Amino acid sequence: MEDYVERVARAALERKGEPVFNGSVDHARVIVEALFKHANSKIDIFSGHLNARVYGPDRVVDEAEQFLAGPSRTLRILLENSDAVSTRHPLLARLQGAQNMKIRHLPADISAVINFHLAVADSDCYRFEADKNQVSAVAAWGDKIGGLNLQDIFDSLWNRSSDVSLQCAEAG
Amino acid sequence: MTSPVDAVAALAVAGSESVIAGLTSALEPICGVAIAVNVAYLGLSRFRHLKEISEEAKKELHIFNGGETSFDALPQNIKDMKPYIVLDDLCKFDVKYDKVKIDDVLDKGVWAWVFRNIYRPQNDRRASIFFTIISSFVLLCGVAFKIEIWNFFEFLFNKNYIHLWFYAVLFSGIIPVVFGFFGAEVVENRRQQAKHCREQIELAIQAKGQSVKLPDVIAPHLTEKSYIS
Repeated sequence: MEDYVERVARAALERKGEPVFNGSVDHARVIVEALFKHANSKIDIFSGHLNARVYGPDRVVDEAEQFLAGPSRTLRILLENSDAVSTRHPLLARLQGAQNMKIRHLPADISAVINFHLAVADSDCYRFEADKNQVSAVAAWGDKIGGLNLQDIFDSLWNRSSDVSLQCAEAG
Repeated sequence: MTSPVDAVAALAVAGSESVIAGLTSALEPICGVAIAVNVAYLGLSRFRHLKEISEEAKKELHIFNGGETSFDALPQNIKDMKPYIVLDDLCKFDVKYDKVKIDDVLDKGVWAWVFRNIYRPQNDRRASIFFTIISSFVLLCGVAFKIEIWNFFEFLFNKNYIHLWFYAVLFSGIIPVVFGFFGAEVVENRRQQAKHCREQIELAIQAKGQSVKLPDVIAPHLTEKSYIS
């Protein structure tokens, strides 16, 4: 695991577009942590229910909080299953007051025909799950082709989604 | 009573035995070195080249299951990729010998040939065992002749043959060193191959991310863009 952490850190620092495979939840956590740590302006996440094992560990939440400390930075979270998200989620609990974080819900009819999940940072760094039912994914830092493509997709989905407030999610 | 002729013959034989014992014992230091080198080659884990290749390949392969024991969760389309199959085969190098798979895995070139013909069938270890036996035999004969036993082997160590034994023992000591250096090169080649396989798989999956599109059923409606800030 140390080798993997080191490799992800190197890829994120160098930002040369080198792909890094993600084969487990632990790998996903390492990658998401690195995305938050090395992002400069924005992070967009399209996920099922924001798996707390990936987005909930302290190190990830700490990095997310530090990322959002910059007022010009934005975090957009698009969820397929917003009912599963509440302020009991470690990440959302810590970030609930942040004005530069938005959460939206993707309508079920659109969600049903999309087979992937993704997270994009600065339009050139990403984590892409080709099959949303699998944990396998690929991540890259500094890949403008992949980053821009996934950014376009995220923006398109974001435009078709509706706002979700944390309070609503908790009540639901 | 011993005749003078027999006495002279006995002295000649004794002198001959003494000379042979001296010649053979002169090889003892080089025999000791050759035995030590061969035993080290056979015993030290750093010279288990097949195991080392297998472990290096496993490091690369286990990236695809996050270091867990099972690969069941890995998508079948990845398992079906040629680089994945090659990587999987590299991982098995220490457990079974299957020539067809090896030919699928190995590329062309000198090191591939060396690997296929020497290291993969473990001929290096067989040769090292043989050299250990040769060196030990010469060493033991030297000791035996000194204490005047094993005389039936003396004909092998007369002046006509002793230089051949010298070169044989010298060769026995040098070849494992060559095996060690070549083995390191062979391991490095296979390590690079395993890394290349892993990179090929990652690039193939990355290409999916670069080209993925929204399904046609929803894409036409999604022309407008909006951003938070």
